[in-house]
Amino acid sequence: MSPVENVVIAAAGMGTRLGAGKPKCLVDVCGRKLIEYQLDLLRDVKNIYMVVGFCELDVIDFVGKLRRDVLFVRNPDFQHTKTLESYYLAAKIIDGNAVFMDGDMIISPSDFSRFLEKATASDFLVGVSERISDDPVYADVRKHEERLIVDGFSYEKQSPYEWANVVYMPAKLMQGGKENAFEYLQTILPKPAAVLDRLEIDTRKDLEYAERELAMKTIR
Amino acid sequence: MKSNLPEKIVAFDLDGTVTLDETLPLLAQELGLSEEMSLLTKLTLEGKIAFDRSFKLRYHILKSISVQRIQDIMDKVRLDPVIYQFIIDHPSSCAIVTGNLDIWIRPIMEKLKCRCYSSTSEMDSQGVPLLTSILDKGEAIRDLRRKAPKVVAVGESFNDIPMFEEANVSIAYGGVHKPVNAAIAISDYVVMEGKALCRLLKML
Repeated sequence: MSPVENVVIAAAGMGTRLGAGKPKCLVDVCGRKLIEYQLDLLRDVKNIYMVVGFCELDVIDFVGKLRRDVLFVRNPDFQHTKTLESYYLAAKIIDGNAVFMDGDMIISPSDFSRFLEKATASDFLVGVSERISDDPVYADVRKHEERLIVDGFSYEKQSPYEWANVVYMPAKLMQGGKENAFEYLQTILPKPAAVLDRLEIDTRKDLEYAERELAMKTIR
Repeated sequence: MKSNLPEKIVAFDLDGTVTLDETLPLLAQELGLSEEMSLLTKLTLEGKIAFDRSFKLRYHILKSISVQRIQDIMDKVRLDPVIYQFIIDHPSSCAIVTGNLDIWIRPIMEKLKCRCYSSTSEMDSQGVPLLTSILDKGEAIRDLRRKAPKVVAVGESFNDIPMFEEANVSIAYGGVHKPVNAAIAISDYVVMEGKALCRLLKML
C-alpha cells in the first residue's frame, strides 16, 4: 500500500493548446493513453479522485473500466476554470493530506515512489522537474541543508527547475479560485520541494518530445 | 426539547442501486415475460418512456401474480453487501426512494429497516393490490429536506433526475448499470461500485 492515501487527478480541462480534440488524459502516447500511465503509477494508492469536465462521459467510461473504485468529481464549469478549481472541488471532501496532480503527464515511477516517501515525512511537498517543457513555469529552488526549498514560481525568471504540477499538501489548505494552481501556491511558499522526472503534455511539441523520450527510455 | 435531527440523510434509489438486479423483470419470470419486462424497464430507465406510464403498465402486468409469491421472490433479491451494511449501520440517516410498489418491496424494507418512499397500494377484497399512487421522487426529497439539513441522492436512471434536482448533493451510481448520461450531467459525483460509494457517503 502506498504511504499516501489520497491522490487527486485534475482531468477536466479541454487541452486547447494540444489541439487533440479529446481530453488530454485520453491522448495516446506510444500506444497507451496518458491516464493508463497515471493509473499504473497510482496502482497502490487507496483513494483516487478524478476531477472531470471536458468529455467527462468518455473519461468516466474509459477509466471506470480500468479501475472501478475511482471517485469522479464533476467540474461542470471546466470551460471557465483552471486546474486550481478542479483541485479544490476534490479537496473540500478530503480529510487529511493528498497529492494533487495534473492528468496530462507521464512521471518516472521510481521518482514518484521516492516523492511519496519524502512527502509523508514532510506534510507538504512541491514537485519540481529538471526537464523543462515547452511552456514552463519556472520554480525558484534553493538547497537548504539536505533538502530543496521552493521560494517562488515565474514564467520569466529562468531556472533549472520548473513546477511539475504535482503537490502533496493538507487538503484543507487547498483553495478555489480563478487563478492557476501555482499562483495560489505561490502565496503559501516557501515550502519543501523534491525533483520528479516527468513528461508534461501541454503542446504538440511536448507530445512529440515525449514519444521520442519514451522510445529512447530516457525516463525511468 | 433537544432536536435529534440527523446531519444528513442519504436517499437511495432501490432497483439497480441497492439491489443488484432490476426486480420487476425478476417478477415477470413468473409469467414468462421476463424479456419483455426487461425491455420495458430498460426503456424507462433510459427515459424513453415516462416513468408513471411505464410503471402503471408494468403494475398491471404483474398484479396477476399473488402477493405472497411476489414477496417470496423479493425476499431472495440480492442486495449490494456494502450498501446494505451502510444502511443497517445508519438507519436514521438513510431512506429508500423508489417507484416500486410498497407491498411488493416489503421483504426488502424489512431487511433495510429505514424510511421508505414508494408507490402505494391498497388491497382489494380479493387480496389484489390496487395501485393508489405512483411516487414522485422530487416530492420525496423535498420531504426529506424538511428532516435534515443535507440530503444526498444516489441513483442512476432517468427517473432519478427529479431526485437529483431537489437534493443538496447528487451521486450518479454505476455499480449495477451505467448511469444514464442525463443523470451524470446533473450529478456532483460519479462512482462505479458500492465500496467507493460508501466511502464517499462517509466523507460528505
